[in-house]
Amino acid sequence: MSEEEFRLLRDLVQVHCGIYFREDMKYLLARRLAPRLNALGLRGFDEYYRHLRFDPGADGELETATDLLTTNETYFFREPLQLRAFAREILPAAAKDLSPLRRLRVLSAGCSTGEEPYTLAVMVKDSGLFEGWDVEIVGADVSRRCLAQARAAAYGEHAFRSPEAEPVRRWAHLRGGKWVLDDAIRRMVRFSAENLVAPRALASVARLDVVFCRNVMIYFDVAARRRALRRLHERMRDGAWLLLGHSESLLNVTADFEIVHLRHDLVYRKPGGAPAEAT
Amino acid sequence: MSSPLDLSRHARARGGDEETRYRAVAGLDPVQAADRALLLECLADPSWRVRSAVVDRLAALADPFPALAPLADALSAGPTVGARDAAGAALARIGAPAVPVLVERLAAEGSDARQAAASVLGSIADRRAVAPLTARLADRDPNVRAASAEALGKIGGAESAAALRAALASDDSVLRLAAVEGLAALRVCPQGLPYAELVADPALRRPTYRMLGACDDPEALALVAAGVADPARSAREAALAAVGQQRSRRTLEELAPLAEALRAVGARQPAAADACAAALGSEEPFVPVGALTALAWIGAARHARAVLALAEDERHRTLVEEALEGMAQGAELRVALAEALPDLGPLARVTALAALARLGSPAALESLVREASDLDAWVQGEAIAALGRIGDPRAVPPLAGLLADDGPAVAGAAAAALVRIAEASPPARATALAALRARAGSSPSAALYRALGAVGEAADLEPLRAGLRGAAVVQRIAAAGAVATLAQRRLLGPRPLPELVAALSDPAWSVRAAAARAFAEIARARDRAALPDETAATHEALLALEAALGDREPSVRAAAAEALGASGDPAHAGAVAALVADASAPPLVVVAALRALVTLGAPPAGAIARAAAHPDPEVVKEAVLAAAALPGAGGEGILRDAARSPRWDVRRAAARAMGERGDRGLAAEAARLAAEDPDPLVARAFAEAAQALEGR
Repeated sequence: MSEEEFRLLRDLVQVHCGIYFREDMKYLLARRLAPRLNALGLRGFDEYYRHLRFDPGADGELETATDLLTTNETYFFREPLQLRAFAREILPAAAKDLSPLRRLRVLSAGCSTGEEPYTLAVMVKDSGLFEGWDVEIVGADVSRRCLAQARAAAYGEHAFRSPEAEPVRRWAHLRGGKWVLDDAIRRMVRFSAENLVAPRALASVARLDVVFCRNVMIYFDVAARRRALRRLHERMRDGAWLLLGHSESLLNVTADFEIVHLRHDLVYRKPGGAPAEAT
Repeated sequence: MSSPLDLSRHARARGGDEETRYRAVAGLDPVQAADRALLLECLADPSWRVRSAVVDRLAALADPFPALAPLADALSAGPTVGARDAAGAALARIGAPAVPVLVERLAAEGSDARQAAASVLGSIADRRAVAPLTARLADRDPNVRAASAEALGKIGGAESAAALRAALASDDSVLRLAAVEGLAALRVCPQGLPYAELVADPALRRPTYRMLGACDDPEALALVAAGVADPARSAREAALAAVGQQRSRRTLEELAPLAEALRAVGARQPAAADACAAALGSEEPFVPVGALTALAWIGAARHARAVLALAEDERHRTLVEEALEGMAQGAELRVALAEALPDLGPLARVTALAALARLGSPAALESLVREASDLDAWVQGEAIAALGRIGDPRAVPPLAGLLADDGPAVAGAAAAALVRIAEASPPARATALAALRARAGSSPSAALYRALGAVGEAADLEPLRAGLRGAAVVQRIAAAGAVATLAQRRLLGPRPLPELVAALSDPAWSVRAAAARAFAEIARARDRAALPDETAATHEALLALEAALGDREPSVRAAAAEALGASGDPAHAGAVAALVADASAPPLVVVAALRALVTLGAPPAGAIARAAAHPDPEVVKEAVLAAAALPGAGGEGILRDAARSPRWDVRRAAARAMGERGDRGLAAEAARLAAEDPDPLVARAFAEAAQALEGR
């Protein structure tokens, strides 16, 4: 992929969905999009760019390209330290704060093929703190293909590569060589196609109590980060928690959230914390 | 007069705990003078969160004018560092409207005020500030000079780069440092600098290495190579960042001199390779890219584990593969890879298995073959691609079995892998071709046709003809594409292809377009091989293509125009020119028609001029390329106009067209544009054009 091809494709994707690829991500772009050249019988990325611009099926192809570029391989119980903070500190605090309403809403933004929201569902279930509550974990991603996979809730062995992932297996059964999650967990999770930088993002999502938005902001430039975080802020109740990827911070992006030092991690929180209000 | 509510909000913004002040500030309306005054007062709030909220409110002003002067005052004379920083942040967020007041403050009496104004102008990055900031490079205060250089490094553009280059001659070492850092940040490396002298200066060494990442001078590559073995880690990493930048800008072939220089360094100083491996964990984006690139040239088996760790990150996996392929292929590497395997995630594991299989491990090859049927799509895709890269014919049968996979992505990946295997060696090609032929009759598929086109011979036209008559649309498209590929490979003789002519009337537009594109390739191949084309079948095809110019589907019209252009017969020029003249024609059609007219040698000047003013940049770029061959002032004018386009890709097309036009009179203009264009990629294209024109 030449420098010119990279920039043309990068700009096209950015205009389409706000996702920005830095120059050092050229190899990622080339690697992910190369199969599309094979599939479409094109000879190079210049032809692919033209295809994306002009082909009658370009809208669908742009979706496919976005899918390929934004989908990241993931697995259950990724970044366990942060999840420990969720299980041992955030969930008990939420159980206390939200007990008048007995309702919990968690968002997994950029959920890819669903491993993270199902991990969160298992953790909520296993905590035993929310029995009889109205619990909903929302998995949101820009890729409809990923969401279709997530809804199928069937995973290969690699999804369990983290030693911490064994609790998920207790809520799954083997079928056709894949681990299919039980209905008890699947019913807790709803998936929604969302582009976080779009003005109406998360419109169908109720007021959130916990937001996982890990390794999503790295794909946005500062302006898009501000837009996405503003939208998340609007959709969070006062006192709701925000967990970013371990290498991400809000410094120079927004001051809308306060930093909370938990025993297991540093997380963000929407200031306030008044008793939960119905939405 | 303030209402009680206002007073209460103002009291909360001034007093109470941080959260109270934060919420009160967030509720202030900067359009209201009283609220605005309070916001400006709150710039000095002790809490960073509150100050940030103030910045947010002031930056949201639709008309920021009333806040500009007070903010500029706060920037120079705010009561605390926090207040001054917050004022700077607000002005930076306000952006362009704040430029005049900040430029004015560049002449303030206090040096702190001038320095702060220069810094904020850098953050705004507005070109209007370039000249006043350039003037400040001669400020009496060294901090103002350095801040101005830093700001120019953020603003960019040819004038900034020229000013920074000039600053390199200063006696002021701080200014020189800021100037090199600025050039490095701009990814600009001026030609003709004393690079070796700059590298020899310990204070300038690191930014100079980073600047050399953008350098096209061969001398620079030798310096960068030497820098990889620098005793100081920070300098080594800067040199590796330069290697990484060079790698992302150029092909491996173009970097052969750098590889040679690095190998020489590695031979003299074996520890250099270890230093590269140690830099693999750097979080600076280009450092791991540079380290992997260097290790492909000087790495050894002992670095395999560290290299493989980066394969977990897909951004680096291609470079990891290159690095492992570059290492001495022997028992030591085999042991290192095998030892690393248990610690790897599934995708990096595929990379390691592929490297082991390349070293002749049958178990690794077998593992990869199994992974190629893994239920996990990521692992499967990586394994299929790896089998292709290895080029071992033993992988042909399982890959051929995937050609009819239900998932088009899997089948397409298998086809691509088979083509790569066929390219590895003549025996591998024979094995792949035999497998494809064996399946062509019994299990035809789109992927199989594509592979057959890329690997097959003239005799393989027959199954493709059958494919053109097939029931599935995707197979008919793929068969037409495969015929085109065979033509590209000059394997089609002057034989009638009635199925392809019939495909021009296929009910599916995508088949009609694919057939027209195939005719374009056939025509080009005939032209190259000087084959006779006066057969009745050719005539029939040309008639069908002319008819396709009126197809309802733009893709078909475009492909037909392309094919008629490739036929080289000027008799079709009129019909093709009509497409360009059609104001309602979509960009795709205009682009193809323009290209065809250029091939036919008859691009009408008026049509090109109209296309050059088209709203779609792709049409403009095509018109610019067509104008390269347009004689006289008209063609030259189009190129000059395009060279001033706000779009970088249009300017780059203008640079290419200038080079192709071959008019020595444009050499000076191209050189001037090379020096002035703010975009390094475009500047390089103009420089190449100037060089080509001067050499004529």
